[in-house]
Amino acid sequence: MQRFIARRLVFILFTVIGATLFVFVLTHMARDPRELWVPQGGFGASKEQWEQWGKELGFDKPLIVQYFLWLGRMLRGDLGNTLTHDRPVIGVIAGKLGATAQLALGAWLWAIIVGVPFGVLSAVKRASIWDYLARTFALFGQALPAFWVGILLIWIFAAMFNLLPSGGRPTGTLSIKHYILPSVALGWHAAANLLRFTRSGMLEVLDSEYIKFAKSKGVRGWLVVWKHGLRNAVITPLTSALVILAGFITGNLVVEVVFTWPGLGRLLMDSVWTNDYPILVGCVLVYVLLFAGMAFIADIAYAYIDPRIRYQT
Amino acid sequence: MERVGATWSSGARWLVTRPVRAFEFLRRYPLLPAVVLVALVITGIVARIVAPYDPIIGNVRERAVPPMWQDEGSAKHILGTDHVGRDVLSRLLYGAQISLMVAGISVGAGFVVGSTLGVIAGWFGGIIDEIITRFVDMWMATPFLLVALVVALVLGQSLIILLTLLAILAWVGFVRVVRGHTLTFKDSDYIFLAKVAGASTWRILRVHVVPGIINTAVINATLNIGTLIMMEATLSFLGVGIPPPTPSWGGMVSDGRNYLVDAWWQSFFPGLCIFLTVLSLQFLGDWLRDYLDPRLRQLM
Repeated sequence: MQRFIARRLVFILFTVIGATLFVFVLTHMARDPRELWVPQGGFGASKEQWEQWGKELGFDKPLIVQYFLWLGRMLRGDLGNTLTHDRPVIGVIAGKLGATAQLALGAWLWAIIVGVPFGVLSAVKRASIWDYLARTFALFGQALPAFWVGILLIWIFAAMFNLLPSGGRPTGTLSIKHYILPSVALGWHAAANLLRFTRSGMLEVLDSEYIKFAKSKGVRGWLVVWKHGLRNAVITPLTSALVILAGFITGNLVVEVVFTWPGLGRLLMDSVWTNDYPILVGCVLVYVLLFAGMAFIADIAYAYIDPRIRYQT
Repeated sequence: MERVGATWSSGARWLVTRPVRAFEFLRRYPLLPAVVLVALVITGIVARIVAPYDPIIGNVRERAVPPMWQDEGSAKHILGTDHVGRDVLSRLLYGAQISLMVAGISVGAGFVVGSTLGVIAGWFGGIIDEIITRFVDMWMATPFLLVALVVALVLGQSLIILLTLLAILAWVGFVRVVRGHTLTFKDSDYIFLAKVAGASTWRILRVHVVPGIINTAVINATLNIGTLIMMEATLSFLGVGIPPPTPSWGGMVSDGRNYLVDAWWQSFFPGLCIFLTVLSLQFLGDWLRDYLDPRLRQLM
């Protein structure tokens, strides 16, 4: 187990270095970030000034040296300043992370509330109308593009019936209304996956000897399902739920764009167009850390919850 | 067909009513998805002939004409026109062409590269396997959308770059399944006997391993095309996919976003196309998996 943990940590380290290096190099191959400040060709800045900026940003050194300088500063908790507003990248990212995490949490709740119970229902009442409804829901979730779902939801619930706001996130007060549509759009796909996982796990468990035994000794129907069945069937869906949450944080770019949600995804989109590379590299770092970290925790939790699983490598 | 027939009759006890039976039949045999996909491929190929209008140049005097069944709609534009007067149906047809082409080429490239690496990793093991597997793991932990955005920004928006991006998204899946499958073959008796009989490594791979993994790879390809179409649409929606004015479904949804209240058809139909295509591919992939490889049969 310790060996497994050590291996995974080394793996995360390599992933972080690989991903940030890749984006770092790419963004530096793009157009000169100094062009953000002055029009092309350098009008409005003297040659000395231009050179001076280059020196401040470290462009006079080879690319790989620049990367290691960034890495060194990163380890000390400094991700540099944004090019557009000259503010610390860490602060900017932290400011947006909250909004993104809240939306991710909303989508997560909706995915679990729908996915797990309906997965159980669909397995217990196999081939009933509930089963078909649940499976249709799952199939739709896997085939519907999130951005289109978002647009349709806005069209129906905001434009047509004026029931829910079409986007944005109110500051200060917590308004549930603003979370409903984006959460549904973001979480449907994951809800579908959870439903499938729960259903197949549940079917497997319900078919096992100890469930048959529990039934034959006279345990009541739903008690068998919830106590004996679900506990054993839910291991896989629950551990995958962590990865799903990480996926929501790193993968809600599209939904944030559709619902004009002021989160990390929108920050990223804006930074891409201005080539604000300190933000881009910082975002990659945060994304990879979150994603790999959650997957790591999920793996460990998996081994803990289910003693039958022990990692060899 | 014998096997499928057998499961059909054993499953028949679940079927009580006729509508359910019809539904079950359609679920068991991918008739609808096949029809949808074949129609899609054909319209994609003959888009140039059947499309009533030019997909790129619109008529500005016929902006936002509703679909023909609405009051102000006309039979000239069956699905209406968009905000610059381009015929939605024509754009959808050309969009099918480009979507299928992009997904097909990238899945093909992923198929070849991924399967080859998968066989190599599974067969030779050791340090080669370690390197390939670790690289795949690393790639899977990297947020693809972000990488795609940055690449599109740096190298510009073009079809070639999009294809490359999607191909490198596709290949990792192949490596995983093919490697796993190769590993199960490796220790089997017939491979051992082939070695005893003096077959060369190349011959064993070609005659005994590759035919065994090809089904797995085909299933994975079918299930993957849907994901790739979805990713292409997402990238186009964000404005870094297929460069405009070439019509793409994702781009069309994005274009129509701002005109949702007055011209819903502009966003609705391309999204519906993505949905139906991906859904059909999903059905077909699931069916193919059950048909070609019953061992992979899921309870779903």
